[in-house]
Amino acid sequence: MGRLVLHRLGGLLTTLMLSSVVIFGSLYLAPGSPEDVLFGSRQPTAAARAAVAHRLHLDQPLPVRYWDWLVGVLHGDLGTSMVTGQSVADRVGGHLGTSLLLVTLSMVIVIVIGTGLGAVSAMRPGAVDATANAVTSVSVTVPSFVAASLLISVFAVHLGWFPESGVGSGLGGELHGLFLPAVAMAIMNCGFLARISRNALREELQKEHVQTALVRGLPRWAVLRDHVFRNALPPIITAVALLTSGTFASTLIVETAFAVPGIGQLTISSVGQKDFPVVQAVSLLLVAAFVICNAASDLIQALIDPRLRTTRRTA
Amino acid sequence: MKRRTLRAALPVVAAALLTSACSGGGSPLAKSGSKSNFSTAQATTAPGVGPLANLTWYGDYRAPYSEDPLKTADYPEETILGNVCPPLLRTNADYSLSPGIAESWSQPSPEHVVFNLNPRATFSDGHPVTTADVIYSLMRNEDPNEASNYSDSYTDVTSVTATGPEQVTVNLSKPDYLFVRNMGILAGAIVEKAFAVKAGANFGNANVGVVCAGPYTVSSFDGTNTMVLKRTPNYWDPAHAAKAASVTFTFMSDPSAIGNALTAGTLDGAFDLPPSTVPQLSKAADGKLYVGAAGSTTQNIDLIISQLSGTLGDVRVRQALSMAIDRNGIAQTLFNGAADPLYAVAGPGFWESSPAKSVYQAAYQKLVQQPDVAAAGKLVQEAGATGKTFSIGYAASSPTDAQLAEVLQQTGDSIGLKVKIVGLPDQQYGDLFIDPKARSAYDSFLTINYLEYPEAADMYSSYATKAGAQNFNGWTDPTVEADILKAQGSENQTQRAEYVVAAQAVIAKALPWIPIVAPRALLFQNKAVTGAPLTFSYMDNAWAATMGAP
Repeated sequence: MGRLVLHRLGGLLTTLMLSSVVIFGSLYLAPGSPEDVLFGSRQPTAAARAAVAHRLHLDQPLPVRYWDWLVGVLHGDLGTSMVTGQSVADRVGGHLGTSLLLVTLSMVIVIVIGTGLGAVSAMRPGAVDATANAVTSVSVTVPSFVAASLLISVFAVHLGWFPESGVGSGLGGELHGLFLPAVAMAIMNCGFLARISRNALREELQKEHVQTALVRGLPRWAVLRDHVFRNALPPIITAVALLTSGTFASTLIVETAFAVPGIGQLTISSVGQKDFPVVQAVSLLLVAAFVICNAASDLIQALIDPRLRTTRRTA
Repeated sequence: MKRRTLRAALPVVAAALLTSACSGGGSPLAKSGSKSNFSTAQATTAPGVGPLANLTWYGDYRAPYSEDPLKTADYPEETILGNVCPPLLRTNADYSLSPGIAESWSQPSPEHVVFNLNPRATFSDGHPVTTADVIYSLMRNEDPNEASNYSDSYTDVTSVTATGPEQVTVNLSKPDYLFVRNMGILAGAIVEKAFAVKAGANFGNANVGVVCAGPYTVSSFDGTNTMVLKRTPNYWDPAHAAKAASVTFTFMSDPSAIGNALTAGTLDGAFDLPPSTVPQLSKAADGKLYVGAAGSTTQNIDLIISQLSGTLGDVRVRQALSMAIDRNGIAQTLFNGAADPLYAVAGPGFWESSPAKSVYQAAYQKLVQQPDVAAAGKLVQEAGATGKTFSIGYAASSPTDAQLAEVLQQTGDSIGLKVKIVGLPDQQYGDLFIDPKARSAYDSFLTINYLEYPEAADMYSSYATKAGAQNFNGWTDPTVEADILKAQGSENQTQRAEYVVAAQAVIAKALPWIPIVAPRALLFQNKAVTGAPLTFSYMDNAWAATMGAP
């Protein structure tokens, strides 16, 4: 188990390292530069432009800038925003909590409703299954940006139950404000997870050892818990991990639609402004979220299934 | 002082998704034709009377880059920073100038403007505003290292000197009666010298801030989503002290998010609304959408000719294109009626409130033309340009720009030209205004230009004279140069107007820029607050101090 964790950690660091090079390089290669943003429509003198470029270290070659950035990060310094002059940790930190809360809330909804719906339809074939099937068929076709505009017009503008944009103060206010965006992202994911859980459970229910256990008169809930759910968990956990990392990416669109002050809006504006240090930090956070979700899924699976507790098999 | 704007900060993909998905209530192509609901004589909403604990306002499509009033001249900065760092003179809602940090001013000779400072004027840290602060603040615009966005306002300024303990004189290189207007916009913003010098290159950064003499100071700014201003305690000018204890500006780019926030009351109000919010907001129950009349802003949407070579280099092709554009159709469909056809770049918005209005109006009437595709096609033939191609660059992130480019493409097709339209990412689009190399790739590009105050001579001098900061294609004409120079030197407004319209007649024939439409002022205000200006004067001024409970 310890080896697996170490192995995964190594994988995380390698991925972060490689993606940081790619992100840094692509920002550098894209046309335009941050000092143009700062100068706006003015045409500064060559000297003034050079002074700003020097202050932002834009006059140094790419490898040097990357190295400086890397050394800073390893010392816990994510750098300074080129546009506002604030420290990147400050700019990202404030928004990260909101986005994390949003993703968590959305995934709680997905897990509860998705697996619930999947379990119900797996165990009640016939009308219930068909209804659930119809519901999930519709929900998997509703992308978050469509759901967002629907939810806003019904629950925020017409009924006024939730704020249509922004979040309130305090945890209660934040949860209240984040509920609709979380639902917007959850609708499609719920459908996916319900389908996957239904199929996984159905498959386990039909296994011989389950049938035998039931025929032998073991209590139904014990069979479901120990033989059906436990064995059906691996594909469900994999799906949850993938959906969670996907949800991080969806925050970009949903946070804009709901004007939620999370990292989504920060990313969009920073990319537009070519604010290298901020984009770098946010992109790496997204990459890290992907890798961590997948690693977490592998670790949880290893906990459930002792056969997977050797690194060779999960690597 | 004359600026183009970059609307919307969304990346292309997200913008496309959001506009297709979220603007259900406000399809920009819906033919709803909004009517103005206040007269041009009305410059503000009912004055605010009672105190407010907090005012929440739309801070426009992105957060300011800097709190330094000179750094960037665009909607977010110009909407907010006039409340924090007001200029030397106050520009009223009707664009007239009145005393501010300078309690009086005069122009004893055409080349000298004298300002007498108000001895009571103090910065937010309690230090008095001195002549040294004023000289430093104005001269920063001339410092190449500051790269002020307003440096073109200072083209004629040779020096700024203290001529008394409370008196500052601006010396000009030639007769210029227009310069003083710049002291009523952020070009004349006053900052505390000691603080600015100490902060150096970090002056105005979100974590350093500024020290100015406004009714508000920046209390917090997260750099992305919100900026909170708080009322300056014991403000030195009690007659203009703020009624709202704090003002929270929220920045958002999605038109439906803006519309929803205003409808539901999360935001108390907004200036500069995207046209697609008009249908939703005109039905709002808790507030009112004010739609200005023709000429309620100085904003002008134009096609800038990048170079006087190629297909558009022939003046007949430019004239033909201009002749064929259905300006009225564009105003009605693309802007939901919240725009008017524009036949001269400095249209009614530049002279509606001028004492010389009749002169400008008579000249403008002569330029009004109905689209004539047949005649335009013939002109293209005469020029031997039939079948020739030209390109139009536009900001891809703006749905309105994209639609406008398509309309112009169809217009070009209908008169025998081939038009290539190229949507550019914000960064590359912005480069068109500063980099001749970037510009040379396109024959023309779209702009939303504006001037903070209505002065046609300044608009024309910015793009149709040799020294103009926006003269991208190098077009010049000796008559225009002479007339604009004379207009600047005319104290009498009617005389000035006559010089301007003489220049305008030449410019309108040569078309270095092709005017298309002029957006109308759009203001939304919740019922719980009042006092917002109905004109473009909110740009660069302490308008928030007038906001209060009804």
